[in-house]
Order: sequence, then C-alpha cells, then structure tokens
Amino acid sequence: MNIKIQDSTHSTRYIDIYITQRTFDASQLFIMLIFSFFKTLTDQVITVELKNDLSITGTLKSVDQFLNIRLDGISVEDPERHPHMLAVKNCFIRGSVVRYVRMAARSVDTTLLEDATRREAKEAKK
Amino acid sequence: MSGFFGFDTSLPGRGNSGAQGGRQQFSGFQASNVDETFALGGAGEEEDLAVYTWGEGGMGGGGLLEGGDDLNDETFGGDMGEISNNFQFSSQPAPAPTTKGKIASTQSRYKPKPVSDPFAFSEDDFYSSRPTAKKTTSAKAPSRPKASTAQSGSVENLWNKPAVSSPAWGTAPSSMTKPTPPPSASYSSQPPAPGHIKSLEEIEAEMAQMAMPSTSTAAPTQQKVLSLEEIEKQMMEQIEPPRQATPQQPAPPREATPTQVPGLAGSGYASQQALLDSMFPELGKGPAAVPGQPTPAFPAGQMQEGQGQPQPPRPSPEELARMEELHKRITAKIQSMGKYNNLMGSSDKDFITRIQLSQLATADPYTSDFYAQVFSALKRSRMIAEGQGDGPTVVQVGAGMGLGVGGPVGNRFGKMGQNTMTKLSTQVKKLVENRAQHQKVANTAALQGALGRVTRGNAAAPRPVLAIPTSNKPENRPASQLNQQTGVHRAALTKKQVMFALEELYDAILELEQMRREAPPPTAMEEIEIWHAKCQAKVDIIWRRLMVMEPLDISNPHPFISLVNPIKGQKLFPRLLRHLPHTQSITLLSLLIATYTQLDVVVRAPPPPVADASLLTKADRLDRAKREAETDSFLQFVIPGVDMIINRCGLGLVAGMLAISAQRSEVWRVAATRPGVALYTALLSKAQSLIRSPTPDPMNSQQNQQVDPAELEQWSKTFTYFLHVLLPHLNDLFPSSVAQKAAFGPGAYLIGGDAVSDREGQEMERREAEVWGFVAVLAVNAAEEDQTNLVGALREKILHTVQSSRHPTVSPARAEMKLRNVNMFLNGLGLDASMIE
Repeated sequence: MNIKIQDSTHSTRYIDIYITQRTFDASQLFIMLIFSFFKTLTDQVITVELKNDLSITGTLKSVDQFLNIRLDGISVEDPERHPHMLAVKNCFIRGSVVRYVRMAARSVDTTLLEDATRREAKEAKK
Repeated sequence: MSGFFGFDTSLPGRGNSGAQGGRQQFSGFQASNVDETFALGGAGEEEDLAVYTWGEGGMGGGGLLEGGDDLNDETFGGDMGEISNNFQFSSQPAPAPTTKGKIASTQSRYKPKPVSDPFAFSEDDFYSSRPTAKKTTSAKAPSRPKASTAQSGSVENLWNKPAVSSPAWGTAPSSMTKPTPPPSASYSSQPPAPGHIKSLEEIEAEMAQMAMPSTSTAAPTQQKVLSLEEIEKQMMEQIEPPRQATPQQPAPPREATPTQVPGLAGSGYASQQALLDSMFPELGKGPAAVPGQPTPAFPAGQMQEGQGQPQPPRPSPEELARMEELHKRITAKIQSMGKYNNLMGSSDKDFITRIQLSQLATADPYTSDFYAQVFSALKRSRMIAEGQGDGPTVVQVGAGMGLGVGGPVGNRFGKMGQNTMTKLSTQVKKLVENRAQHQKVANTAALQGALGRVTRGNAAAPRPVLAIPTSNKPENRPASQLNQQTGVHRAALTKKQVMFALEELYDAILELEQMRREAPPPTAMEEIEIWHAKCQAKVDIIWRRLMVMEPLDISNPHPFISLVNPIKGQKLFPRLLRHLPHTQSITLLSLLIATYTQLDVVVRAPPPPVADASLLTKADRLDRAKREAETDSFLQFVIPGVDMIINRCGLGLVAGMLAISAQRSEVWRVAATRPGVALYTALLSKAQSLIRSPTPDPMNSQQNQQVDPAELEQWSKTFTYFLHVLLPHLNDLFPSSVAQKAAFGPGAYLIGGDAVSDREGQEMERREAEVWGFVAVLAVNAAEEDQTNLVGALREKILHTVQSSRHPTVSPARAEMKLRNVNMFLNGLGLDASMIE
C-alpha cells in the first residue's frame, strides 16, 4: 500500500480503517456465500474436520452466519483417539475451529456455486 | 488546593471555637482566612489585597458603626448560637467538596449561559476564565477598599453593612472549617453577591432559608452512581450519622443521598465530571460573587425542589430497616439469579433468533443468499416434477423481497423459529415497505453489529441492514472492445481476453436470469412490456458479447470459438441458448459448424489411447487428461444444445449446414473426433426423421409443410457428396482402428488383445458405439448403391468385430456390446450379426 501518511494522526487512522474495512468486505461476502451454501446442506450427513484433527460425522442441523455448525447423531472418525467423544450424541461447533467440511458431491450444485461466487464478486466490486 | 480539600481535618476544632466565636476570634479567623485566600487565589497580589481588605473592611465597618456594631453584636451574639447551628449545614462545604460540586454541576446543567462567563463550568473554562474571575474580584475590591477607607458614601455604608454581616456569616464557616469564603459563599450560592448589596435582613432571611434546604441542596451531589454497593455503604452510614449529625457536618448530606435520587443525578460520570469542574469555578466565583441574579435564582429553585424532598432523606429507623430488608432481598435475588448467569432462557434464544433473522432481512434475497435461494428453488421444482409437494422454503415478502433464509428445511430455527419466522415475515414486509418509501431516512444502525456481525461499508457510511436498490445504472461500457477493432484479419483472442469476455458473459447471463426470475405478474401489461424490453436489451448485449457476427475468417480460431473452447465457455453454452431467439441460435449454429475445425476438441482431439500409459511423460498424461475432459465437457454441454437447435431446423437448413461443413472442413477429420461424430449423427438423424416422417411436428410450425422436394434434392446431393468424401476414411473413424494404427512396437500386440483391461475395453466399445451409430445413420440415409459401398467399406471392421465378440477371452459384457454395436449398423440395413458366419 503506497499511501502517504500525513502528519495528522487522524488521517492515518482513517486509512487503516479503510483498509481493514475492505478486507472485511471480501471475507464478509464470502462468509455470506458459504453460509448460504451450508444452509442447503441442512439435514444431510457431513463430516467436519476440526483444527485439532478431530473429525466428526453427523447430520447437519443448523448453521448460522458465523458458520457455527450444529450436528446431530455424531460419530467420531477415530474413536480410539478420542474416547471422550463416545458419549456425545450431538454437538455445536464454533465456526472458527473448523478446518474442512466434507460432503457428498451430489448435494452440491457446482455450477450454481460458481454463479453465486460471481454474484458475490460483483457485489464486492460495487 | 490540598488545603482546600483538606479543611475536613480542621473541621472539629474549628467548629468548636466557631461555636463560641468571639470577635477576636473572628478577626483571627479572618487573618487565617486571608492566608487561605493567598494560598487559594494563587498569585494575584491585587486579589489578595482585595480579599484582605474585604475581610478587614468587614471588621472595620463593624467597628466604625459603633451603635450599629453593638446592635450587630447583639444580633450576632444572639444569633450566634443559631448561626452556629445553621452553619452546621451551611458550612457543609467544608466536609464535602462533593456537595459544592453537585450544585455547581446542576448549575452548569441548568443555567449554563448567564453564569458562564465569569464562572467557569469546566476545568478548562475555569483556568481560562480565572483571570476574568480575578478581574471581577479586583473590580470589586477597589470598591471595597474605598468603602473601608472612605466610608463616607451611603453606598459604602450599604456595602459595609453586609460586610459586617458577611464576615459573621463568612466567619462561621471559616471558624469551623476554615475554608475560604468562596466555597461557603458559593455553596449557599445566593448570599455573597446579593448579600453585599442587600440588607442584613435579606441575608438573614437567606441564611434561614439556607438552613433548611442545605441538606437537600447538599444531597444531590452524592447521587452520582448509586450502585448497589454504594447504596449499601450509604445505608450503613445512615445508621450512625443521624446521631452525629449535629456535631458532625459530613453526615447530613450523606443521609440525604439515598432518597434523593431522582433526575438530578444523571449519569455518574457526568456528575463526577461536573463536580470536578465546579470546584474550581467556585474558587473564582466565591470572593467575586458578581452576577447575583442568576446564581441565587437557581438555588432557590433547587431549594424548592429539595424542600419537597427533605422529609424522606431523614429515614426513620423503620424505614431504614425496610430499606435494608429490601436491599437484602435484592442481593439475595441477584445471587440466586447469578447461578444462571451463563445460561439462556428460551426468551433469550428467541430474542437472538429474532436479531439473527432480522439481520438476514434483505430486499433481494438473491444478493446475499443466492445459492440457497436458487438451490432450493431448483430442488422444489424438481420435487414438484417428481410429484412431491413442498411449500416454499424461502420467506417471500414481496416481489423480489424477502428474508435471506432458505434452504431445503424451512424450520432451521426449530419450532420456536417457525413462530418467529411467521411473525417476522409480516414484520419484515412492513419494514421493507416502509424502507422503500423512506429510502432517504437512513437510520438503520439499530441492530447493526448487535451480534457482532461485521458490516459492509465503512465507518462513515455503514451498510444499511436493509438496502433496497433504487436505481440501476445504465451500462456505459463499450459494447465490445473487440468489435470496434477494424481489419479483416487479426490475431486470435488471448487466453486472458477469452476469460474476461467469458466473465462478462456470465455476468450478463446472471443478470438476465435474475431478470427472468423477477417477471412481473401476468396481469400488469405495461410492466410486462417493460420487462420484455429490458430482457431483450440484455439479450442483445449478450449477443454482441458472443461475437458471433464477427466475419467468419477474422481470426483463427474465430472469437466465438475461442469462447467455446474452454470448459467454462462450454458450460455457458446451454444457458445462452435458452435465451437466444431462434434465428440467432441458427446463426450461431451455422457459425459453429463452419468453424468446427477450429474447436480445440476437434483440432486437438484426444489422441488414441496407448497400450501402456507408463510410456507417457507426466505432462503428456496431463495434457491427455485435459483434452479428454474438454471433449467430455463439450459432449455434455454443447452437443445437447446443438441437437436442440438442429431439431428445430427444417431439412433445407440441415442440408445447408451439412454442406457448410463439407465445404469448409475435411469431413473425415472432423468425423474422426467424438464431437464431429456427434454433430454429424445429429444432423443426419434429423434429416432422416424429416424425410421419413414428414408428418408435421406439432411442436414446430416450420416443419408443418411437406418436405420441399427442392430441399430433398439438395439434401440428397449434399449427403452423397458427404458420404463419398467420407467413405475412404470410414475405418479410421473407429477408435479401435485408430488405436491399432497408432500403436507400434510391443503395444501393437496389446491393442485389441486381451491385455487391455475389461473396463478400458468397455469404454472403448462405448466410444465405438458412437461411431457405429453414426455409420448406421449414414446407412439409413444412403441410397441403395451407397449402402452397398458402405457395407463394403466396413466389411472387414464388421467381421473383425463379430469375430472378436465370439473370442473366448473377451468378457461376455464386452462381447455383447460389440455385437450390439455391429447390429446397430446392420439392422439399419436389414441385416444382423448372427447372419455372419
């Protein structure tokens, strides 16, 4: 970023805000898209891989705009390693701890997803 | 300053002496008072002088008016006791600076203007205005010295009288608390300024007045925050103070506090701030005491305000007990509720749900929720097609407006969510209508970020929760940059250009599709016309961007072909066709056929499979994979569209297209590729169906008339030419033959042998089937003698296939496929593979 910082601290701060805002824009739009996508996956079986390598398979009950995920009837991929998960039947996963979500290919309309990204990109440009 | 704040400490002793205060003491105190003023006044000699003289003048004045003085003595002597009593209240400035602060703050709150100039209300103001305060003091001072020195003028006398009284009045506080006159003056607020000018009686009256409200005036100061702890503390203090109230000054104000809560307190911070601010202005104001009018006016009002309340401030023991009881109960309740501090009740959840939902409210659900909306729409239509009814899952609020919640399951918020949704949908409907009307009034930040949602837009112009687009900017983009270039021939589009052009096309298509979705109700005729016009304009834009109308030879590949080459463009093809009118699609197809050889999938058709993939380099393998993928995608996306257009054509058009193809390309090369085979098969079978069953197709009025003999003639000519060009190469069309030809070395043994895995073999048969189907159509279309030629050309292929199908090593499945393939062709001629020995 080649912005000349002026003597007034105020203008500097403004620039900073502007930049972060822009980054937010993109990510926010992206999240809305992904949120929209996950909504269509409700009541389907998905596998959520967490950042701590725990993989949970279950029926997606709900997802919110922070991409928090609620799973029902869960099972853990590697029960020996995570015995404490044996008793857990449903869970709520904070969106920020999710690494991957695996889902059946047939439940995804790739063309539509492409279109959706195009729309988002256009929105972001506005 | 510390001395000022510190006068608390000196309070008790002073109080005692003050109570018995004699004249000497007065003078003595005046002296100390002066010292104090020195310290406080901070610097100005003039000012010091003035204060000093003021004190002196008071004394002197008293001394000079002998008789009066005696009288004064009497009155004051008699009053002294009372005064001392009064001073317990009036001198309260001493105990609690806060007291003063509060008054000042209320003053500043209610009466900022009149007093503002000489008496600052903020610290800054104070420091900046202190000079003025001094000036006023000094301005006053000169008059007093005059009074003390000259003492002749009646005015001076008038001044002096109060001067006498004022020391008395002022001394009491000083004697008790040794504050400078200012605080006490300001505290009682009215006395000094008018006091000096007014008569003694007036002052006395004021003092009397003061005595009563002092508690109440003092009270407001303490009201600041009143957190639970504070109340508790105060209540604890209350228990003791009443007894000490008489001897100890600080108690009364405190007492008053809890009950005096209302209004005045404002925010805790504000009052504290005002308190700080006010302490200093008082300093400046006290001695000066200039603008008498406003200041007293206010306290009077305040007094009335306070006088109504003074009764409660002195709580009876029962009341205290009651309050303590209440406090206990509150604490107990809070503690019991504290157990559930981290839990949400259903109403909490409902509340959050509502916030969530309301944040999802959009004017255009397709903007932020495109995927879910369209996905569920598609799914719904599919379900309806399958006969399963399903209510709309998108909360539709109006035409094109709704909640951005969708997905296949409507009740993503559970049962509670259902209720909320129904309630909310009506709410949002109102909201949207309102917003549409008052688009300008942008006060939508109410729920913004309520749940930490990151908002679009910058700090200056936050994104409104509900943004309704008002105007659509007309597109000002030059129709096609490429179109405007002149020149008969130019370079083909670069990959980047193609990609950009494709993205623009996609954008346009998306907009068009969105437009189609937002069709106005069929009753509104004008709207429909406008809508049609809009759509048409969009289609025109798309048509221009497709660059179909570019001259045929403008570049190699033709720009349009460049667009169809990447898979991305191929995927766009069927969606484009849906919107293009018939004539344009015919034009498009003609162009496509004319430039078929420029297609990547034809020029760079995937090479025949090799027996041993390990012979290939990695790049080679990737390239093959890519070509295969492109071909597959072309067959999946483009060919169906081509079929569709061909199906709408009459025989003449089909013949014309075949002619174009035969003219412009080496037919056998094209036919050696899968896309080519597919195209020709489509053309030939369409022609055959037109010739065989000229019975009108109800779907297409163009085909209603009988096949035009001229067209028929043209077709047979074209086809004959086509067939004859193709005949010598017929065998090469078969992938197996091509593979065998291409194979050399050890691979030659393997190809067609048993080494090829069954799965690959079946795949090969499937590819063969395409070609067999093509030759079958050829056979059907061909005249008698051509059919013989055809069989002759394919004899070896047929025999080989039939034989290999009977070979023991060939799996039954593959053998069956082989036979079926051959039969496809033979049956068209009225033969069968079983007839072959």
